[in-house]
Amino acid sequence: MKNLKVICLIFALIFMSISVTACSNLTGKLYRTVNYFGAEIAVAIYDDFSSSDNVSKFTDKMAELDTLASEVNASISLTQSGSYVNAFNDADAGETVIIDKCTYDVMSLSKEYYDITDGAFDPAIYNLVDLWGFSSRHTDIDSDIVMPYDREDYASELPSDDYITAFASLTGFGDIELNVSADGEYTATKPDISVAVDGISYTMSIDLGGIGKGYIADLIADELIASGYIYGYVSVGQSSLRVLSNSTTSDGLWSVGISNPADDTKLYANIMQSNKAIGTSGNYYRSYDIDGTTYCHIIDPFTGYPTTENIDIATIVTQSASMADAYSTAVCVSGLSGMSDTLTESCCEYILAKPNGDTYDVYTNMTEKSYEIVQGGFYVV
Amino acid sequence: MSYNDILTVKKNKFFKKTDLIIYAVIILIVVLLFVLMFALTSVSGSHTVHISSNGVVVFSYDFDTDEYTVTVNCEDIVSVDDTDGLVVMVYYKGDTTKYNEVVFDRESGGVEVHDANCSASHDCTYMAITNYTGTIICIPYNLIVYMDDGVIDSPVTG
Repeated sequence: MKNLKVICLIFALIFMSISVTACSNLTGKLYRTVNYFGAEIAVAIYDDFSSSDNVSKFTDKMAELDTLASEVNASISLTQSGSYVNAFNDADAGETVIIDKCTYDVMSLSKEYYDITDGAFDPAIYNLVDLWGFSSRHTDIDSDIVMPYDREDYASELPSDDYITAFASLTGFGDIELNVSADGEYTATKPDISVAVDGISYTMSIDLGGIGKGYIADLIADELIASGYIYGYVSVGQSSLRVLSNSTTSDGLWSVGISNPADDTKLYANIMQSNKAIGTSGNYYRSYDIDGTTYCHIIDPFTGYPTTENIDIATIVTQSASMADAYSTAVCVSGLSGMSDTLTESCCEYILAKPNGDTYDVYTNMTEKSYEIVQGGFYVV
Repeated sequence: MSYNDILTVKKNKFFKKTDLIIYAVIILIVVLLFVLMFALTSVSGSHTVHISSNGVVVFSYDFDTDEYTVTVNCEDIVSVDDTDGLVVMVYYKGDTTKYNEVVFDRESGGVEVHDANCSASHDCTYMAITNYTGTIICIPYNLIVYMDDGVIDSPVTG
């Protein structure tokens, strides 16, 4: 009997110790957030920032990552004159251009995801993106008419079939040849295909923006982890996320909000994730309506038209943000049925919303504990 | 049951009165520790104020450590004068003709926009952070001055 009492007392003391230890993990955990690279990249980290050494270490790391992100941007951005992607797009059909290692890495990843998604993720659609009015030069309200296919009002006039057919024949990222020479020179060779419309010749053009954000999120998150940071997250333009652990929850999970496609100031769901990558694509983000038909910014490389899969928002959860980016785009192009095998083989979780009249049908393979619908009118099917 | 049997049962009862008192004290200590630790955690939150200009955090000041940080590559947007109190000039997109003058009161945990040429009404000069609480917003120059409460907002994707 006495032994039993002693055991009870020991358990009580153990419980008390665990309680105190669990609480003390939270003390001294403050945070710093840094937004840089315009306002697009946000890094939030929990650490013991009561130590000035830790603050200095974090500040130095952020400056280093700022440089890294700027270098990636300079290599693969279409808006950066002199970028390697622009050099590739300016090249003639069949021409080989020299690229840097970063561009080579992003293009290699893109080829890999192009193959895995059977071409649904295809960065070689830039001609079509520009034709439909969704390239960066069209974001200016007063963008000039530069190309022969430019239109006064994109929201009232569709492009001609001649251009759509011609530009659709220039897709196929898998046809690009990438090489590394013995002396470490990286090159990309454009497919020897060109088409002429209205007397002007066009060749393949690529846009790595569909995977670039995820690539940068992966780079930064991996650097932070390598430096010993384990609590926080990296968000690139909100569409590409890498969440580490969360020191303020007992299970380390973050509650990641997913924007409501009907009202992006609100959320339609929260997903509980830790140490994962999250990528989101959606029709709702940029689109216009002509004669009752919605034309969104995600282009189907097989038809040359904006995708008709009618997925307003697709979120993929996996290990790499570049993969999540590529797969979320591919789901919007091929639909869930077209990508289900790939998602299963890659151990991806997904949650996506399709409009159904005045409500939304939500499709997900997440466990019930991993998500919550927080907006009325969204129903899991 | 005989009287002796009753005494035997009472004698062998697992929880005696003193045992229960000990267990109650232990539970009380655990509850008190919980309350104490949560209270300490909430008061140990930072008293850091951030200035965001055009969507980017350009300057941060920690009232507790009396340290300020100008964000890397934002030196053209922020000018700090700490000779007679902490005064920060924030120039919209680096244009020195478009400014907000932000003044910090170290003693009271206060911040205010002392001067600005953002609009005729200078709405931002009528807002203030008092005793580490509040937010200042200047819409024309997209300036936000806000306290950091020590908790990271959950990320959003979309």
